[in-house]
Amino acid sequence: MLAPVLFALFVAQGQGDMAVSASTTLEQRPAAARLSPLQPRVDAAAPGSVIDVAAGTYTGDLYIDRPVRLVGHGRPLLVGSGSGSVVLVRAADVVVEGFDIDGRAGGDLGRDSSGIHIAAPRAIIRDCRVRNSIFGIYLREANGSRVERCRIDGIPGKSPGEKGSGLHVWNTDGFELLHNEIVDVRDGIYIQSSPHGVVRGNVARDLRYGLHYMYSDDNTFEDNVFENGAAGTTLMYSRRITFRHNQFIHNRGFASVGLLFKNCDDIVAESNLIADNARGIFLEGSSRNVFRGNLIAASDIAIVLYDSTSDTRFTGNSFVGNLTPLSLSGRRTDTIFADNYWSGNESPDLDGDGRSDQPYRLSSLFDHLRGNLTAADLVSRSLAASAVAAAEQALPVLDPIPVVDASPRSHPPVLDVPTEWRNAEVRRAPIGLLASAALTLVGALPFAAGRRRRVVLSGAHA
Amino acid sequence: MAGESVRTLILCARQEMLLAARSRWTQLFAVVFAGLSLAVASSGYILSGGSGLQDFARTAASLVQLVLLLVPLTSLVMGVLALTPERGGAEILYAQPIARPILLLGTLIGLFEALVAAEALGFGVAGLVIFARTGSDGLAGFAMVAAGSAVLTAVFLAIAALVSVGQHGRKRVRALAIALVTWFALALLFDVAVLAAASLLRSGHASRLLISSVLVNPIDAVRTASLLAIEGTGAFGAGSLALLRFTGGPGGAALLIALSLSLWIVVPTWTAMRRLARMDIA
Amino acid sequence: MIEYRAAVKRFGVQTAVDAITVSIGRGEAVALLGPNGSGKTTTLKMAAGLIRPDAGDVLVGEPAFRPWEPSARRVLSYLPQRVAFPEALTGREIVEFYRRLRGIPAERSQAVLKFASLNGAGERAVGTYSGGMVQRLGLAVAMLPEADLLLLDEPTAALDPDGLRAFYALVEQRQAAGRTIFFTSHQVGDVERLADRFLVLANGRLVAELSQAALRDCLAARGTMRVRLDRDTPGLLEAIRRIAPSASRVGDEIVIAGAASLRPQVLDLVRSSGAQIRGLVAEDGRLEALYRELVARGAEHTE
Repeated sequence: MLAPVLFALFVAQGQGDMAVSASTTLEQRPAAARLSPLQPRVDAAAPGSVIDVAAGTYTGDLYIDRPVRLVGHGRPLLVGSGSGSVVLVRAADVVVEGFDIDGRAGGDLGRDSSGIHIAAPRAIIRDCRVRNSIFGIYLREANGSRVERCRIDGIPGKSPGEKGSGLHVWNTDGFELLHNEIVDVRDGIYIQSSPHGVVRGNVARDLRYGLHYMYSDDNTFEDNVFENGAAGTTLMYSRRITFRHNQFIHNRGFASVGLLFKNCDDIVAESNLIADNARGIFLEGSSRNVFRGNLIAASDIAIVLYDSTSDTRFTGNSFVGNLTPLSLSGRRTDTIFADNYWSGNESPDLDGDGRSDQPYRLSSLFDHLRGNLTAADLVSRSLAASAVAAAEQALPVLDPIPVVDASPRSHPPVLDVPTEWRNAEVRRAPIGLLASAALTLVGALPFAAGRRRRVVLSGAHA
Repeated sequence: MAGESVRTLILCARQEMLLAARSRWTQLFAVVFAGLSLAVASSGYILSGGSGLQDFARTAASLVQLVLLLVPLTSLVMGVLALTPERGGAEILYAQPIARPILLLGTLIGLFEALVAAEALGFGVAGLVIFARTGSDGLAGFAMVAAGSAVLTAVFLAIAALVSVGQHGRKRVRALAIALVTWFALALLFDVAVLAAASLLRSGHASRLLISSVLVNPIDAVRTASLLAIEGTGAFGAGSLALLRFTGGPGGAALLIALSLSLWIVVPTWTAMRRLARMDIA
Repeated sequence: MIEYRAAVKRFGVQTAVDAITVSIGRGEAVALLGPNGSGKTTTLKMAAGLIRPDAGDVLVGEPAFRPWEPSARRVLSYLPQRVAFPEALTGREIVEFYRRLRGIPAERSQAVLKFASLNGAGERAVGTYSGGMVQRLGLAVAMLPEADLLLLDEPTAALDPDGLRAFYALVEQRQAAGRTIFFTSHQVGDVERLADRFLVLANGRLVAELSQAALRDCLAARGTMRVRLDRDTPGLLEAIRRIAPSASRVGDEIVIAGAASLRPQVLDLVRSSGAQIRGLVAEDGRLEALYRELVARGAEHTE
């Protein structure tokens, strides 16, 4: 029971928003002794040819320096030499598909040792599984490359700080990351200085950052799931990004955020599910961002807003079951809240226009206190906190500069947000059911016995 | 001698449990608690629009809030009603050749068993709903909430014993009033006062005050322990870490909370027993 | 069996029991008399271990122990003035509880329920009982143990006729068995006459200790006779006043207060006057009058 607490503690100490800079040295052709038995076939292949690989285990690294299509049949396993990347792509227009790749936990972070390391344009990596590798698949200056339907599992038992990213994209203009699944790495998807990309249908879970992102403009994120990150999702110093229909869920670490923007401008986030996070949305120094039609639910704090943020709009979102709707750092904000639904809003809609008749106050005295004093969180879920909030709603003088939703919806809107994929299936817990049944029985026993005894006694003495 | 005391304890406990099981108030509590637990367990699903969004932790956290609201008040009121007998009820009992503290303790145990049974009924019904559609991951957390509920019952029965001692006959109303004030103070006023004081202090002192108050107040202590167990440090965001730093880690926090709650059970019970042993049944 | 040694009990500024010293021996039946608020209940509760004296001492049993020690209470059984039992339990469940509490053989339960005329109501919840039935149930509980010492607070006040019958039987049976009975009363009815000895309490002080005979004499000496005659015979009242100076005419009655021994002479005078007696009522003195006298006398003694 204490394990998650310890884990969160550990992670909290080990993390930071440090930017991972790309290494300057590029891994070259490995020494002959370390090369894969497949290497002679690559070396012999004519550009544009197809190399078919049969099922089996091939130990050693593979260096691809010409435009070939490497196709695995029956999932051949490439086991690395243990000293660096397993597959190195050094020519344009390479396709690798249908392989299982084991990095043997070899190489090191500084050399970007990966399952598949691509440093050439227009590569396509498809249907590969990478495990035990520091980085999963690394795109370095690989303009126009695509990674699809791959699965990355990190090195088991290593601390997040010693692992690399699942999918790492650096200095790549135009890239596609489609329908990949990434588990147990440091950062699920890492994107730096890489514009014009599409990230769609990926799942990144049980890791530190689901998405770690900076200096990258004009990218699109659709239908991804970023789940159970100790830190969550962080974007910095970027512009013109679109988030549609993604899920940012179960990011429950101490400083975890569903979606964090720091110095990010002109972002549109639409129809996303941002649920069960320590903090739902975090905005610092960001401008002209729009959030509409999202479901932000079950967070400790739905929105953390720094007053360095400007010209941001929240409209038509649904805020459900959050401990606190808003934590404002600083004294005021020009952020516009309108037409959102807030589950904490109990103000009636008497004129029947679908909006409560009074604005909904997002800031509260209690939130102000907890902004200055973290320990105040400990009583945030007490009757007292509710009482303070109620008193404030009744006596507005207590909070002189309120942040309000001017026209809060009186009913939750129907949103086009994704449903959570993991809980979509009904799971049963037979032990839980059994224990509950036993509990019910034990609880009912004294009441049943209380009735019975009278009858038994009268019977005995009749 | 010790064996005889144990036998007497069991006898009193059984008698009280029988009585409590037949009491409309206990039955009402059992029904209300089961109903609300069921509502909480089901609404976890309903609130999410059937998307399963409210997973186990959220449902369990709502159960904790239900427990914190209902159990202390019920335990206090039921305790006072049972421990302030009508005129002539106390005399014939205390004139028996049995030490009064044993009679009191037996009664408390019986009440505890009956109330915990009512709570178990509620948890069982809620659990059937919860575990029919969430995995068994939450089992430990669920057990923790149930245990927290039992501990709160014991704490507030102990307080009820202290409040009720010697308040039989017409003084029952007075004891009830004191019990309600005590509940209000612990459930609400205490935290409000601490928050007010914290807002006036410098942050270091304020933090220490808040953290200690959460450990000292039994309702806060159970809430803190249950939610931390269910949700991990996410339960109170940064506050969780402040608490764990202050207590020297999860083990320290668990120890301090256990100590605080044990004292809340033992000290009022022991004081009530002592006072009852010495007082005149006039 | 009971010994009060200068026992004092104060409630706040009020002294409920003021230095009572009295000893009650094995086999005695003693009634504690006194007006309301004279300290009878407090005195009895001290013997039952429910109240501790502020000064002095109270001992029960042989060998003697202080009754607020739980084990000392094994010798006694106490019935408060008004009992109350949890309404949700049946009479039998209550009797069974007290039986087990004192480790008494199982067959006693049925016996005492029958004795208290509750054997038909034993399976009913106490909530359905009448006041008299509840009191009888209390009596049943009190007689569960064959205690050496029975302490009964105003036992007859709340008992119904069935209860009174049971109570008579109980006192007689226990007396015959050589048990000690100590009970309070604020009046003297038939039951109280069963007592061997009477203690009179006023304002927390023991003002008199009387044998049964002495008490009867006392009350008889303070009796009243009312004679209703068919006509008004001149000189009769004056003649009576020569024997009983306080005699007076009230309506068509002549009321003669005084010792019972005067009554035959008075009746002789009436007969010789030629008047017909239409009604005759003779009663003993009321306890209240005795209390007043005893209190007054006590005050004289202390002065």
